[in-house]
Amino acid sequence: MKPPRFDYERPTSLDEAVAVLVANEGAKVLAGGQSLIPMMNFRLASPPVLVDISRIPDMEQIAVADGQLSIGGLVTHQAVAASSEVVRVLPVVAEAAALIGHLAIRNRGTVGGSLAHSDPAAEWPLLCRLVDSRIRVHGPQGPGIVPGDQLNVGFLETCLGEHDILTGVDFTLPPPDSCWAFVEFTRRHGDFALAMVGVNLGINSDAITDPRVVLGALDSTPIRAHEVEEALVGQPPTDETFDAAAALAAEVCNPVDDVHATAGYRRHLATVLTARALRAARDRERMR
Amino acid sequence: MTLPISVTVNGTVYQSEVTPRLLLVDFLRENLRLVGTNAGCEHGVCGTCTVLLDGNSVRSCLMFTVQADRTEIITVEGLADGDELHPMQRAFTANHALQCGFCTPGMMISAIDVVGRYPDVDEAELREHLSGNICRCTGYHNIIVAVQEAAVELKGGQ
Repeated sequence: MKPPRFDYERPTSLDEAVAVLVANEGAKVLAGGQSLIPMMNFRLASPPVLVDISRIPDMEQIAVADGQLSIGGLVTHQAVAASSEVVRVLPVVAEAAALIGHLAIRNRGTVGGSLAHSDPAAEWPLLCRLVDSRIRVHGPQGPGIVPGDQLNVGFLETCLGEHDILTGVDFTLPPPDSCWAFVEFTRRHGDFALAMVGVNLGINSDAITDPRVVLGALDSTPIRAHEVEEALVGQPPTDETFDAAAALAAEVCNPVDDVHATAGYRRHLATVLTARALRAARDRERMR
Repeated sequence: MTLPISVTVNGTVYQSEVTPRLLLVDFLRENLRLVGTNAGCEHGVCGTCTVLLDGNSVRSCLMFTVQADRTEIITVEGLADGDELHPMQRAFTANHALQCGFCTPGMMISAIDVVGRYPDVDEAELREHLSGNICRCTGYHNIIVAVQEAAVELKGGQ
């Protein structure tokens, strides 16, 4: 359980990093390493070259400006979870980040790494569909933008080119009176989730407006549950409304049987967690 | 390929040449003979390799030594001040919070980071935070009592 041999480069600029990726077939980006290094220790991954981007400047900022929350690709999950700025303007993101693994993992793992790794049970890909977002990328053609809901396309697969580096994400802040919730189900705290649900909606004169419901760990990528959202629009935020809408979540997702749970159990979790998340979002609004 | 690194461990600066694939846990154990830090699962889930790096608890099995260049690391060997045990060590001893001791270095390092960040952590939250450090001997109860006791003393010293 030791990693295989590799060459190691630690560039100090994005263009230098891209040049190393281009020059070395199979080279991989190393940031926090909390997904890549376990894979290498298992010898599931054997990149011949690692490009450590941790000393490239200007990727560690959290900033709020012009109705946007910007998070640099090298920001750690723990920095997000503990950021008073994030808690103030987009608390669903801080709450989800705090659920990633354990403290020691969060102290090294990065936002960019989680998004680029694209695990089906990762929180960050779900957040990028729950909230309007743009992924900042730097590649051989220089800087670019990918819509946040287009980044993660499959199991451990993004739409990025093999020489692209994910440098950050920008979230459009929803209205400040948005009701939100993020719930996940694990058998043990810190495990990969068996199911996750993120919810963001408005409640106006006892009617739901602009609902977003995103399911995670229930398919190869997070799923925007449009049918659930359609069953919520304009309805009163009652338990009856929520239960009826949540029942549709089981149909929308596409889980598989594996050693951790059956597909049927995961569909059940989809319904339970969607209802729970909707209630939590509504009750958070009622506390205001 | 080997690369030069400079890393401070328990207050001592070490200059070395290492191969990129040398994990930090193995550098600490094999190169520096600091065998208090243990290698368990080698994929980040058991917690026995946990050390403090620039004040943050990290899994030393999920870092290459080259990534620790220009950092300051504290291992379990660095907790005591001469003959005076760290409050966490004293609390673990007083509360019989270890049996075989294999999880103990990582457990104490993790606990130090948790109570340092969250001095008012309640028992349920503490159990959640420490659920990334697996103990096969104690059933965790005495560990929790010890950490809560040390937390009070560490908070008083802040």
